[in-house]
Amino acid sequence: MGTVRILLDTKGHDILSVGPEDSVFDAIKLMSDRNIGSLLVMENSKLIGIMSERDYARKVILKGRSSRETHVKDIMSSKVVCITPEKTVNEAMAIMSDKKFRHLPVLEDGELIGVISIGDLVNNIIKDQQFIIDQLEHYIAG
Amino acid sequence: MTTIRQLLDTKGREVLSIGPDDSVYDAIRMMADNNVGSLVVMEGTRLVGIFTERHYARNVFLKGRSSPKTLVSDIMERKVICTTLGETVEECMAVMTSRGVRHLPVLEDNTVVGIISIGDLVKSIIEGQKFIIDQLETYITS
Repeated sequence: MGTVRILLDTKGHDILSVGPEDSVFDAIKLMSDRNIGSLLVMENSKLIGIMSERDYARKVILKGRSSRETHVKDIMSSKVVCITPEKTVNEAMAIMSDKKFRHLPVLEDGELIGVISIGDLVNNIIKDQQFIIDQLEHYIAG
Repeated sequence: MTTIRQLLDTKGREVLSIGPDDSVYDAIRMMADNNVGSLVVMEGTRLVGIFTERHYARNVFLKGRSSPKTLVSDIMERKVICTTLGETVEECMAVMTSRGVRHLPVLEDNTVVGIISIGDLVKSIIEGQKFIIDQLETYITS
């Protein structure tokens, strides 16, 4: 079973972040430019929140706010569910499925080392599942 | 190998839709109220587009538009990638990964009979994978 560490080693450890005082406009611009669906919110190298396209779609105009005058901290989710690198891809999928998140920051000894998305997991699981089945079928045939 | 028909039997066939002349504001209101990330755009019984949180985040404010004045037809995706009841979860995962989409309407005889999200596939693949591996391991030990 593949681990989150192996997945990150393939995918890369890039982390895109914004500050809590940045405008929501700058945040959605960055997400659009980089073709991603969420950003980590960092303050003094500390992870303090996560902001996704969903937060933007649900908490700005529908709550009577404007994109330029609203700060990231006003709409980010402060309770960030994270994962550690030794967890398996299946465990990560189960967490996302259960909590209905599409992104999980990866922490090692309290240090942020990457982010995985539901798309990363789906990519990985297709390959991984095929590998396990091939192995077992080979064992049967032998 | 789970088919989309089996997945929909578990998930249900409810499809949330909106009209092309409705406002983007009404669309995100409907998505938030129903806790979903996409809507199919229907003109009568005809599928004419798909509208997601991503389209909202990228094509309204960033393109100088406003939510109440913009129509769904202005920013929806008209080339809708669909699936059918006979396709498998793995095939749909591959399509989503390669096309960079998170939702696929399900068509039967040119009628929309359901919609599946990347989250639905992940849920199904966790269960499906466990079942296949259990089955093969039983065969080996018997």
